[in-house]
Amino acid sequence: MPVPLKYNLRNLRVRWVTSLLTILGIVLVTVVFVMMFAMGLGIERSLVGSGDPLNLIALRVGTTAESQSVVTKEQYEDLLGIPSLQRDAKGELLVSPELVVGANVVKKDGGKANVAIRGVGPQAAALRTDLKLIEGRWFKPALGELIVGVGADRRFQGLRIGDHPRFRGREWTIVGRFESGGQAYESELWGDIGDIKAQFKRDFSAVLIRCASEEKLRNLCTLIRNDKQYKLEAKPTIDYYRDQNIGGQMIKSFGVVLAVVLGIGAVFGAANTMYAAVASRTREIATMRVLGFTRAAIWFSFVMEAAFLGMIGGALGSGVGYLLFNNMATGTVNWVSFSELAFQFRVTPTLMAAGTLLATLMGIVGGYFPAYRASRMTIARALRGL
Amino acid sequence: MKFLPLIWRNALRNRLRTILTLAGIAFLLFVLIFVMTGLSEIQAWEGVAATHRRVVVQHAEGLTAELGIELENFLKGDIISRHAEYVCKFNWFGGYYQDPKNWPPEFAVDPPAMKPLFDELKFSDDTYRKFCETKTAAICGIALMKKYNWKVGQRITLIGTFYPCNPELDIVGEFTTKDPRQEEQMFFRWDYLDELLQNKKIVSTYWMKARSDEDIPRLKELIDAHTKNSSYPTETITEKEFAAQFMSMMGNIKAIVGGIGALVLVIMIMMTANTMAMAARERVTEVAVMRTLGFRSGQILAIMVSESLLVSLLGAGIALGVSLGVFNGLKLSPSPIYFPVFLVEPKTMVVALGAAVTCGLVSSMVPAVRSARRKITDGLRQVV
Repeated sequence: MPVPLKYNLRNLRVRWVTSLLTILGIVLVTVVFVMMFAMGLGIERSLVGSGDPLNLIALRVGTTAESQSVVTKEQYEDLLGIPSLQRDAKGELLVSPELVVGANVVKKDGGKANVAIRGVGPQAAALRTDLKLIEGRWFKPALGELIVGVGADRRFQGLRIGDHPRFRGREWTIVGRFESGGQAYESELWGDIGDIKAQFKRDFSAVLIRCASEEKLRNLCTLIRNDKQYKLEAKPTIDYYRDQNIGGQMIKSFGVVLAVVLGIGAVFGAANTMYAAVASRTREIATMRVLGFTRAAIWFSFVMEAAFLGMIGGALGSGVGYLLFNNMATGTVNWVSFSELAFQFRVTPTLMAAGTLLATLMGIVGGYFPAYRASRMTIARALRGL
Repeated sequence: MKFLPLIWRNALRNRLRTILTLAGIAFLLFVLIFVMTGLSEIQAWEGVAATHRRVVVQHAEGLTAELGIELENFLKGDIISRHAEYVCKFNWFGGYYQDPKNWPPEFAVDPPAMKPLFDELKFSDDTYRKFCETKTAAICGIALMKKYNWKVGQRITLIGTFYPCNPELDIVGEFTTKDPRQEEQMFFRWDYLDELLQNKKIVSTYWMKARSDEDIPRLKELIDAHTKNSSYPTETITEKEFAAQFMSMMGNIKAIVGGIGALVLVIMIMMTANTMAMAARERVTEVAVMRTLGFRSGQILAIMVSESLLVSLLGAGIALGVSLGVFNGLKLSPSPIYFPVFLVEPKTMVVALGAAVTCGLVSSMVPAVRSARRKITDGLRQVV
């Protein structure tokens, strides 16, 4: 028969100072873990979420970012000549030539960062199903008008509707504000491709093509890549954006390393607490053995007690992490394009469960050896000992 | 000091508990040293940058914008040369060698200006002569040479990511310098890069050396005023400010590292406090006996505080020993791409020791004061 769980819970309460200190240590470790992962997940969502399974991107061979890629007018026109391209209801091709450039703008929290400015063709919005204008109006060509993503608006100064930022010797006007489901586009300024090309004196950087199905997209990728005529690299936008997620990956792996090492530190603390708990209950344990509880039951009971310690700490830590960090808006650099990427910390239910699980594991590891010691006690000696 | 044996005995009384605490402290301090070293590595350039009076002219809209070649004449002209010397075109190339993972810092420069401008880089006259004579020449830091097993005279190809070209370079020599991070860099010629880019005359920054500290603000004013209404307005900044803008790009890393450091300290204190509280509880009777024998409460307090201080400092010693051995001794880096070197700085060691001392003092305060204040009679009466 197992030792009732109530016994363990009551014990944690009786030794509440020690329990509390140990739990607090575990809480803090969990908070660090949740914070780092929430940051990694936020960056990941912003970048990986920007890919669309039906969109393909064509770039200069050898580049990993639009901001480094060059696609000439001739190459663009060659692409338009592909017979199988999809058209919208009005018969227009679902293709958008785009140019991504950058300019330094002062951030709201001081310092400057590079804001990405994207010149787009008339079909750009049709290729982004999540994009929604939430204030003002869409830009008109040839007037130097721009619309601002909600992320860029949040991070930078002087990009509100009606503001007139200066880029490359021209005064521009912000006429609208858009959101796009947390995607990387929200960190950008958008304007007419003709305007941006003229002022920034560049060729296109990439061409986006919408396909009818994922299979057609794969075929089109192979076609463009293999046909020497185009001299372009083509890949699904899903892959393109996933490859940009260097920052998110780095922070996540750093978070794991940090949590594990901090966790080991906390495990020693938990072990200490559990050894003390075992030592002070020597006679109690012996009594339980006399009453007929098996060694295994006692071992299990103490491991459970440590697991509780960890679980309480983990649940609290995840909760604190959620309250402190969920949806916290901040920004970092996109390591591939070197432009500012606005993102929000994401404390997901899965992350909270993982945090609790990790903390429970810390408790179990910390309690394993003390519980073993408890179960190995010689009854007679333990009863005699003070 | 004469109580040291007593303190030591006390610490060893519950060996397992002390070892666990010690190990916990060592692990946590290792984390502290690790994140702080990461931060100091990112900031290292700012430290180096402050010492050379170098000034950078970049486009006011940042590094993604380019400057005109005409600016060079102005910078070399009379107005500027009174305040600065050695004007050098300086483009970060950003290509990789063989695999996108090999991404050494590569810069395209003008050899005659680069030599006096970066006079902390030491290379032979012969190397310099070849650098000036050979258009495809490259000079590399010795750490970089070792990393890819390059030899002087070897021809290597860099694959451009930022610029659409793949320069084939002849390594004509190597350089050494005090800062190991700079020995991971390589330089080749701007005119060769320009040739590969069909003479488009792309200059991303101009670097020069201010003649004195007072000249720096004058230079900023003169150059930026001159270009204000041109097609490439400039922003003239010191090398330190240039380095700092990369930190600013990354977001608030300092706050994150500071936050983690503070958390580590708090976890450490709680863990040690727990241990010390247990130790104090066990010794209630004993402390009362000692008081009866004539120990003053101040001495009791000092003995207990010293014990936790001793354990904390031992933990710090282990953490420092391991991190110095692994990072500074074996030269291991957690990420060779982003951190070519990962060296624990003296500043970091001081912070780690400071954290250990704080932990030792704070964690034992409550239990120690309580032990010292408890009435002798109460202590003797209590059954543990």
